[in-house]
Amino acid sequence: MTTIIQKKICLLGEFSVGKTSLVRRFVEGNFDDRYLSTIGVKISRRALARPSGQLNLLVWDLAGSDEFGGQIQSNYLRGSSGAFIVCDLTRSETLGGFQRYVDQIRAVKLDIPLIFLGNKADLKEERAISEEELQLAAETFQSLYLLTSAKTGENVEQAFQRLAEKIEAKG
Amino acid sequence: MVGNAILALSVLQTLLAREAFTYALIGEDLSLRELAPNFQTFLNNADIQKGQSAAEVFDALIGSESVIRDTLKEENSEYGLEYIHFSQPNQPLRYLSLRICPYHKNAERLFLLIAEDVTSAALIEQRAIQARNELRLLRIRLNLENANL
Repeated sequence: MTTIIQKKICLLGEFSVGKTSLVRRFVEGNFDDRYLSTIGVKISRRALARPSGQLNLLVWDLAGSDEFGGQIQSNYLRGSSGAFIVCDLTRSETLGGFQRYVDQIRAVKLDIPLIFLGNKADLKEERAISEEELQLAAETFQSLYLLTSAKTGENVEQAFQRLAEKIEAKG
Repeated sequence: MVGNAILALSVLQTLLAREAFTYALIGEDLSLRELAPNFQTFLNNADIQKGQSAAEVFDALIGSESVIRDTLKEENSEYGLEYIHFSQPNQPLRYLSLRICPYHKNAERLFLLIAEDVTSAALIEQRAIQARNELRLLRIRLNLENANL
């Protein structure tokens, strides 16, 4: 008998860093470069085949925290098994929000795996955050980091697979 | 007293008929126990039945059983989720807000779940936030260009 497990994960990050595009790439396998700001939360699903069975990921794409006056609504975060914190590699100020998102996750007493994503890796000429800076930020929180591109698909699947691995390892 | 109760019922029926919100009584396991008369039409789903989990109707509740139970231990507490995208095949996108609060029916401890259609407000807010964010992105780009000059 196949075991099916459902886990909720969240994407956090400043506005326009590409959270919705990452979800779209992961769930629908496509990309649309029109910017449409998210309000509230959009929940998408995708099943991942894992060695332990089927893992159904419920992906909560949350509005950038600015849309909540700097705070993510705590009920959006509760019940999460893992989270991505996303920055836009072409906007240096988006890296500065990492601490705030980690604090918000901890404020609801969640001890969950985190992965930091530097998105828009395809825009190499406009890069304002180096890989070393992202690595340093991730190491501060003993977390992994990946450079992703929702546009090209670079590392998107890998990011979700890695988070799934970490969630499974945590049990 | 009876007059007030009749008025309250009449007002409730009017509000339900306007499809602005719906409600259900749910158990601590989130199973649907009692449904508002408009519950199925509000959600465009004639297959919803008593006994099934509210999490099958609202993705946003999946995995939240214990969170909701813990949150609603206090009598005056409330669990809420704002602006949930609610999309269905061949239907325009809607935004719903969910509220769950303790409810006692006889001796049984239940929860009252209220789902409100907040699409109009959400679309206005979305447009305002979109415009603000686009402006902020332009400002960031302008500052960058100025710095490069």
